[in-house]
Amino acid sequence: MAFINEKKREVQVKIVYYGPGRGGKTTNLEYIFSKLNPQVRSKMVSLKTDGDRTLFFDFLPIDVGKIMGYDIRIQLYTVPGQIKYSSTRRLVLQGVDGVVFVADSMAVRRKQNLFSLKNLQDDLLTYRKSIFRIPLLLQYNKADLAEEGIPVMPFAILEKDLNSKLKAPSLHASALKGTNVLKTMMKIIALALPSIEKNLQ
Amino acid sequence: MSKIKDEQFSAEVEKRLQNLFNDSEQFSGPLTEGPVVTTPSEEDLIDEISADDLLNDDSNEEDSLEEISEDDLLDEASGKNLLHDDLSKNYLDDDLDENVLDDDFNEDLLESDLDEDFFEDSSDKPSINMEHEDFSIKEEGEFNYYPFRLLKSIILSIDWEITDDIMDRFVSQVTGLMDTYKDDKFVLIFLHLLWELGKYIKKHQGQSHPNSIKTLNSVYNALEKLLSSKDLSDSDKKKILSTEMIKFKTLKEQISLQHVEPSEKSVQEQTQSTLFNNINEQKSSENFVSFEMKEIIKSIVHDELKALLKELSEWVSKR
Repeated sequence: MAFINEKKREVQVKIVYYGPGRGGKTTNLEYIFSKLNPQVRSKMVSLKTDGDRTLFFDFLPIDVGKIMGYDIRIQLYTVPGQIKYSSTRRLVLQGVDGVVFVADSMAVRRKQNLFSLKNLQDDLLTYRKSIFRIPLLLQYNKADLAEEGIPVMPFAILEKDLNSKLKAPSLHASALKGTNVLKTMMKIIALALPSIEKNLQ
Repeated sequence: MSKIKDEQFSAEVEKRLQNLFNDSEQFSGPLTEGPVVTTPSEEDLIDEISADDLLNDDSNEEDSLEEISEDDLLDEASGKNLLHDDLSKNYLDDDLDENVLDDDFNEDLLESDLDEDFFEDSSDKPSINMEHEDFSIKEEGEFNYYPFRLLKSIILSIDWEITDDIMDRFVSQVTGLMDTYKDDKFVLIFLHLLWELGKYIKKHQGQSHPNSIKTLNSVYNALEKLLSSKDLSDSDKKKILSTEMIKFKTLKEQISLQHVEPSEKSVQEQTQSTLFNNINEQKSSENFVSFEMKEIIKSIVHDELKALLKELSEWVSKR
C-alpha cells in the first residue's frame, strides 16, 4: 500500500524490482536514471559489493510533481538477488505497491528464475500479500544476448515457466541496451496506480 | 482527492513521468492493464533457438518443459504439497488457487539437463606444480566446447546458490576436465585454480570469502578466453595465466587474513561470554539483594502495623 502522508499531502509509490542474482535489476534502474532529465534527476543510491552485485539494495526516487494537491513520489527499489540476502529482500518488499520480476532469459538461468519467483511469493506472503493479486509485471531481460549466440529462452518457454498461472503482463527487455526498460517502469506504475487511487479516495 | 477521477489521476501521473525522461518515444505501447506485451523478436527467438541450444542434455525439450513448468510449481491440486495446508491456515483470505507455489518442487528435475555422467567420477586431486614453467598448449582443434559449457552453467549456479550438490558437481566436472586436458599445462593450471577455489567454496559455502566467487568467475572467464582465442601466443597465455595467479594468491592472502579474525572473534566472544556470565551473576546477586530488601521492608511494615495496632488499642482503651 502506498505511503500517503495527508499532513504533507504526499504520496509515495513503491516499486520493487525483484529477480535472481545478476538478472539485470540494477541495470534497469541505472538505465532509468540515465534517461531522466538532468534537471529532475536526484540521485540513485546503490550499495554494492566488490563483485559489483547488489549487497543491500538500489534506490531511485523520482519526483513526479504535484497532482491534484498531492506530491507524487515514485520510489524504485531493487533487491539483492543472491539467496543469502533473503531477509534484505523481505525488508525491501515491505509496503510495496508493485513488483517487476526481472527474469534472466539465459537458458542456464532457468532454474534460478523459478526459485526466485517462488521466493517472491514467499516474501510477499510474509506481508500477507498474494503474488496473484499484487500489481506484477514480468520482464524477461537479456533478450539481446540471442544476437550474440548465447542460448536464450524463447518468450513462449519463459511464459510457460513463469507466467502460466500468474498471467501477469510480461515483456522482453534488454536492460543493458534499454529496450523496454522505460516501458516496464511505466507499465508497473500504471498497474499500481488504481489501488493507490482507491486509498486516496 | 475525492474530486479526482481515477483515469485523470493515472493519466496525469503517466504524462508527468513521460515528461521527466529524455526518450519519451520509448513509452509507446499500452501502459494500462491490457493484453500481454510482447516484443517483435519473440517469434525470431523461437525460430533461432533449438532445443539443443536450450538444454544441455539428451532429454527432449517437451519433457523438460513439463518437468519444470510453473504449472508444477503452482499446482496445488497435486497431493504432494505439504506446505499448502499450513499456508491456507495463515492466509485464509487467499483463494485456494492462489495460495502457494509447490514446495515439493523437485530440484533434481531441473538439474536433469546437466549431464552428470559426462565425466569420470574421480575425486583424486591431480598433482600439479603451481610454479611449473614448462608450458605447452594443445592444438586448437582439440578444444571441445561442450564440457566447458556445462562447467559454466555450474559456475553460474554457484553464483546464485552454493550447495553441496552443486559444489560436488563442480569438483567432479573440473576433475574430469583435468583428466581430459592432462597434457595441456595452461588449461591444467587454470583447472587446478578452479579446483582449489571450488574446494574452498564447498567447504565454506555461504561463509566463503566474498572475493572467492569473483575469483572463480574471473579464472573461468580467463580460461574461456584462452580456449576460444585462436591467435593467442604462448606469451599472451602466460600473461593471462599470471594475472589469474596473482588474483588467486591475493585471495589466499585475504583468506588467511580472514582466518585471523575468527580467533579474534573467538576472543571477543569469550570476553562477551565472560561479561555475560558476570552480568548474570550480577543479576542473580541483584535478585538476591532484592529478595533481602523485600524481607526487610516486610519486616518494617509488619513492625509498623504492630505499633499502629498497639497505639490504636491504647487510644480505644483510654476512651
